[in-house]
Amino acid sequence: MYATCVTLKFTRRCGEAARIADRFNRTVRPSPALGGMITNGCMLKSFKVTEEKGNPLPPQREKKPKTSPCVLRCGTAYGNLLAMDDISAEWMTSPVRDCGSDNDVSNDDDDEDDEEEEPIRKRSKWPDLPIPAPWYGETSKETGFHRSSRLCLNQIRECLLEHRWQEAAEYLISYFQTLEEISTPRQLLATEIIFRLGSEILHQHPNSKLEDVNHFFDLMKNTGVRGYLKISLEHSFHLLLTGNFDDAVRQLTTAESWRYGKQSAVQADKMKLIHAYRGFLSYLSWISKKGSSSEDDDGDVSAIQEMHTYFRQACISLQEILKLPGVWDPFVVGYVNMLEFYNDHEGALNVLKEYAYDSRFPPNPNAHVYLYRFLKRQGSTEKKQIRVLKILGALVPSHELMLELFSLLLESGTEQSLKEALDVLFNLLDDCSWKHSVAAWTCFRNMIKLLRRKKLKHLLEEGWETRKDWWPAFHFRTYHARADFQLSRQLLLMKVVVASTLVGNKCMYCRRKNELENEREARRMIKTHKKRKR
Amino acid sequence: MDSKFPDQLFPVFYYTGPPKKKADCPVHAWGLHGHVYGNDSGSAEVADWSFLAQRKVNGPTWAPVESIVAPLLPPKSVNKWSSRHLPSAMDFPKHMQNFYLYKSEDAFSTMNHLLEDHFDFGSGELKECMKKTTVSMKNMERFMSSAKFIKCPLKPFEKRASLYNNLLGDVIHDIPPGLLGELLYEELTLQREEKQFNEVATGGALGFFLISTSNTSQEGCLVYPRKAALNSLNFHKVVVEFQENIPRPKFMNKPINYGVNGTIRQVSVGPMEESVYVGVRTDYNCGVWVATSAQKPQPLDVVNTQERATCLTVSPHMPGELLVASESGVAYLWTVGRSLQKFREEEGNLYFNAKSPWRWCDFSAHPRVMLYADRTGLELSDIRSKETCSHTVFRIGATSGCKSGERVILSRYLCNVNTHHHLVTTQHSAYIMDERFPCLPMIKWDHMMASPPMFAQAVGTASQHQNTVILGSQSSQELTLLQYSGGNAVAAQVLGAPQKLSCPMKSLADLPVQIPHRQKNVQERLTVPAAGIASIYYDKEESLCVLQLSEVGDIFYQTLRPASQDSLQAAHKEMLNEDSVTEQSGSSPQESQESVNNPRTNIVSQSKCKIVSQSDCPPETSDARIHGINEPCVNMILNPLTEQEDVSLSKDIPRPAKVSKATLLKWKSWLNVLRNGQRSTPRYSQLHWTLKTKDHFTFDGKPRDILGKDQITSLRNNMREVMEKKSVLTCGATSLSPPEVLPTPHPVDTQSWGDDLSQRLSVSWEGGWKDWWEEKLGLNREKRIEELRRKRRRLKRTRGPRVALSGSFTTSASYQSDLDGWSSAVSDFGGQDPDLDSSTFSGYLSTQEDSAEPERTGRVLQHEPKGSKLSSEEKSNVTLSRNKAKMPKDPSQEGNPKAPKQLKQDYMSALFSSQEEVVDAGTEGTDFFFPMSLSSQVSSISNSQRKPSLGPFSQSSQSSKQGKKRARMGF
Repeated sequence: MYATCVTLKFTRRCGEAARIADRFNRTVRPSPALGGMITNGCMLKSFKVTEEKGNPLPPQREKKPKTSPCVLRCGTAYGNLLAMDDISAEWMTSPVRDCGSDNDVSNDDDDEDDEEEEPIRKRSKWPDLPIPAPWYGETSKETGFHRSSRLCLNQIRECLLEHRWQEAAEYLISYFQTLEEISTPRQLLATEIIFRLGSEILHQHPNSKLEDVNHFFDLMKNTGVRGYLKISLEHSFHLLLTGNFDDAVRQLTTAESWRYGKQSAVQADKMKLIHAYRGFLSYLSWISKKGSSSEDDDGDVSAIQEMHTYFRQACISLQEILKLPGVWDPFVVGYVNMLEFYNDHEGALNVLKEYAYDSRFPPNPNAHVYLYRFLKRQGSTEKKQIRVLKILGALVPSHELMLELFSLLLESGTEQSLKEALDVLFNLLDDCSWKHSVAAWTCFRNMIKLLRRKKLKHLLEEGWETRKDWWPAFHFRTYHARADFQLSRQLLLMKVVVASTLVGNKCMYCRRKNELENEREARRMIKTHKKRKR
Repeated sequence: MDSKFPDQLFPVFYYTGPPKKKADCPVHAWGLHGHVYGNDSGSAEVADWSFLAQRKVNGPTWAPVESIVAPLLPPKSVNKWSSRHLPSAMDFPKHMQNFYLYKSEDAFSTMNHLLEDHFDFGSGELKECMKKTTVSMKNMERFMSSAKFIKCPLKPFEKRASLYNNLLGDVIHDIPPGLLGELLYEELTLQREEKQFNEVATGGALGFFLISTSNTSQEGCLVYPRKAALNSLNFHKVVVEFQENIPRPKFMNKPINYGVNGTIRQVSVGPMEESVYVGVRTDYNCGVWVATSAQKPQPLDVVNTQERATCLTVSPHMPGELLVASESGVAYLWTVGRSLQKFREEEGNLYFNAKSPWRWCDFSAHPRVMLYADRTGLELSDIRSKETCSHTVFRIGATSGCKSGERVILSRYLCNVNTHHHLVTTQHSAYIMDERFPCLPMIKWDHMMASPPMFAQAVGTASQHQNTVILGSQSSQELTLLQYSGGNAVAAQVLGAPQKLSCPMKSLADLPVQIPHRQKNVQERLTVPAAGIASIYYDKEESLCVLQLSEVGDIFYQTLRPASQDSLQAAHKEMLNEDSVTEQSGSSPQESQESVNNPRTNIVSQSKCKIVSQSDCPPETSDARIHGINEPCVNMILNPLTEQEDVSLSKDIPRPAKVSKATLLKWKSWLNVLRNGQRSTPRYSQLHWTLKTKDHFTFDGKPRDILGKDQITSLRNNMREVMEKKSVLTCGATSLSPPEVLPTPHPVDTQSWGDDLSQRLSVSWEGGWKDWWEEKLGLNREKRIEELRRKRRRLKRTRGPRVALSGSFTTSASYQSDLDGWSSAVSDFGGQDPDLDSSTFSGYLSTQEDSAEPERTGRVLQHEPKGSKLSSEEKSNVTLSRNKAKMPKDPSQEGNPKAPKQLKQDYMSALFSSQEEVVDAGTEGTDFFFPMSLSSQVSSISNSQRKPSLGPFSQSSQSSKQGKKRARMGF
């Protein structure tokens, strides 16, 4: 009984396993009778599983075996084997454009007949795809304990993939034994796996209650310190989603003050996230305080002070996270909101500009949207707004704010801006998501009218030049006429104007439109005729 | 709606650089919420805030209507399909051996011709000059026959073999072994790789387009390859109909097929507008067909590529536009009727050197911006500008949280779901990328599949709140269903956990069992890798049909329906009902078969049993019932379960364990066709020699069973009842007439035979052969005289004055040295009751025993016992006494003062051969009751003392012995 020996040695761990198992038991089945079984370490033994053999790995880097005398030389084959994908070569700052040269990297020893062997090498393609080693496969040095825990994990996975939560829970109770693992990496992995599987089952299981989840999270937090921050964060998310705002705040506050020796990079990032979320929750409390104090009109001083405390808390945390590259939309929105409330427009603008234009940050369209909206709220000049929107347009030509850009450009009225407005419109309609937008096509129709009025039709032709080979097929087919007509007659009418201007009156779209209109007319005539008869 | 971009995205760190994570933790699909943001509801109260998680744990689920897939087409007979056995590259010596043995013509023919003159086959006289240069074939044959091709055939001739090798090694082979070995090694490696992951099949060779929809049915066309080499393109009309509320696809009419030059690798279908374009890719050719709802499909155009084509995509925007990519790294825009237009060429990989010639391309939301992909990432390139103007959509790296070694397997533009979304799959994950916000994935799933997903289908459901993505892998046939929502107004959100759909490989377990070799055959057929998937979504009655094509051209389908609470509960109840039925009727063959074929369920049920029996009040789930445990303990515990249990579990079971009759019928016919198509015997299997026994055993054809059918059935019922009670089936319990009782034969009266021979024989049968002869020859005359005298004396004594009992005892003791327990008992008896004389005593005994007088000569041969117990005792005595010579002595007799005497007796009887023993055995039974004759008494003494104490009889004898001792002590 390997497990029993381990139990004796690691009673502390075992106790943990038992406690977790116990909590789990209570959730997945009311009877606590099984809890004691786990400590005895006989659950893993009690189930037999058919072994799923993973695909054995290709014999990489194997030494040449002694084979029959007829095999004289196959050195090149092995040489090529060694040249298999090297992970260290995976990332190169400048892309290597010469694909063919890699095959020769390791063939140092047989250069005398390179030319002869060229066709052979070309024929054989070395594996270009590292197929993941099946982690659930059997390993050569595997103890019975590892084997049964591996098989158990496979069973749990199968159950989870087929959404059989109850069964998975029962297997998981057995799997808690892996916490008794001796080697540290394996034990860490076991903690992670148990946390993931356990929380998933508790989220999905019909019998699980919030207390169970809370308790499970609490136990898991202290089973191996590495996961503490992650689990705390996850715990607070869970509390938020289940509507326990205050508990979530408490969780984050506790996690914030957690200190443990040296932190890994991942842990440091988690800590930053915890700070950020803590700030975000403070912001939410600030909002609620703001709402309640504004209701009271005057508001007592203490409420205002409390609000201010929340503001300061949120400010400090959010400032920190906004310095790091990432997507922080909710945080930015909240921070700017608060700054605006306290009339720190300068600060808000800086934050938004930083968020939008810092090259370390990903090209987030929302950053520009926030900046534009802020400028709009502040009533800044159109020029500034247009500039922001133009940058956004370069990023996402199909953004819905492009219609606003169009109208802004139209307002300025110069030929240049008209040209730009037309470009914006053309780009917008290039995108297939705007294909059936009545607003966009109406804008286009208005634009054409305007250009006609201003006698600037050459602008239209310029834009059309690059599109004339594919727009007819993209927008103005007979099929589109019918589909548009079914969608909305308005759309059809708008598009017809554009089509007749761009393609010509005799285009298929226009002809089809006429047919449809005639049909419609005829139908209406019949209807009125019938009515009159009555 | 698609034009909107989410107002807020979930917070995430933006990392750059190479992937840092290692593929270690295998459970990333589960457990986490990801990130959360608050939805501004405008309310002041915190309690009113709604929070949005990156992964919504409880999403809507699809539930399969049946637990197994069903075949859509009858199987085509394919002579040979490769098994799932992966060839090992290290097997090349074996392959070389096979080559030399079975293809010797190819291996050695040149040298054969050259050396022909130098071998002598004993056909003719050899010329003198040739003798020196010729090798006799006889010697060669002897040499070869002793070799026998075992492990190292040349071992006994090591020296000579090496000499031969030195002499001929480099000339005898047509193909140098080194080269052959190398080539074989490469080929095997390649084959192995291809079996694990064959990238040419990326995209899948199964397509579907919709023709018309009505309220009750949906009509579409399935495009699939057929024939052994998958080189015939079929367009087949499919109607999805609702039968008993279950949607079933059905083929209509005959398929329209076109022969294609090469194996069809990919079928790409455009959207159905006025017409639909279907692109078909083979290794070096790409073709395009056009079909309308009214007209039959027409081939339009074919192009040929120099290098192997890896991708063909039909445009969702423009009719007649396709994209072609080939291994040369060039991507073309192919407008039907015009030549290919190159828009991008990359010799190497995009972001780092992945050593892969695989290229992929797809369309994007902009009809003139194309997606170009390889194993390292995805780029958008504008085909309007001359110089390559491109920007990254996705790259393997830390930005999208990739693991090291991760590679792009497939990308797909999800036009029908969201015009800006692209699906990217890798070995570990599936990503949804928004082309408006490149680099950072909107959604990341860990799909948890064993082999990389090469096929993908995306379905935007009617409600538009939930998009379903189905991933399919090749070698392991897995189908995984993932769901997400949002991406327009709100940020994209993962819904629920990945769900595994059933695959043909696993369906076999639910099918009726076959004969083992057929089962193996079917199993091999069902484990053939997948070659494509397709999905049919029917929005009127929300249902999703998933079709899967295998590499031998079989198509299987399964139907999914949204798992609403009601339907789940109904299914659950139904299941319970069904199960109770099966429990009543005992285990059906289905179940037993399942338990055999499906070790998983078996284990589960086992473990459940265990749990049940271990806990006092177990909250047993209905799972146990589903698995059909018929153990009484489980049933007993299950029965008192209340409704509460059922309600609570209704959510837990989205899988129905049932298989409908229609599906089973389909499978049955499918299996039949498969079996009939498998007539041809394998190439190498030799028929063993058989002997025909047809004429030897003639059978008249009459039924041997005289019982009628009704009787047999009633008998079976009786049998079952009796087995349940665990009792014995007796004749009385059945409806059969009681069997006739045969009368026992009359005892043989040996007295009626008067002649010598008969008498002798009957006596020797009893064992008295020696006595008879002694009697006959008068050898025992003196003995008899003596006996008579004694008799007379005894008579005189009885007549005369009463003597003390001790006197009689001593006389007998003096003569006999030892006394039988019974005789002593008699004497004791006599002592106790002096009035009773021995004659009366004997008379008393005789009346009691109701037996004939112990006349030696005329005894009735009767082995029929007086009482059954006694007879069995006797018999055991007989057998025991026969073995007495070898038997160990009874320890109770050791230390007995008369033991030496008895030993002598033993030796005596041993000297007297077996005849003596027989005498003992035969006489014992009777002599015991009539201790009159001395000789018999002797033997009886020896008998009773020698036999081990067994049964009541021996006990009584011993107790009598004790009694005797007491009597002696009294003296």
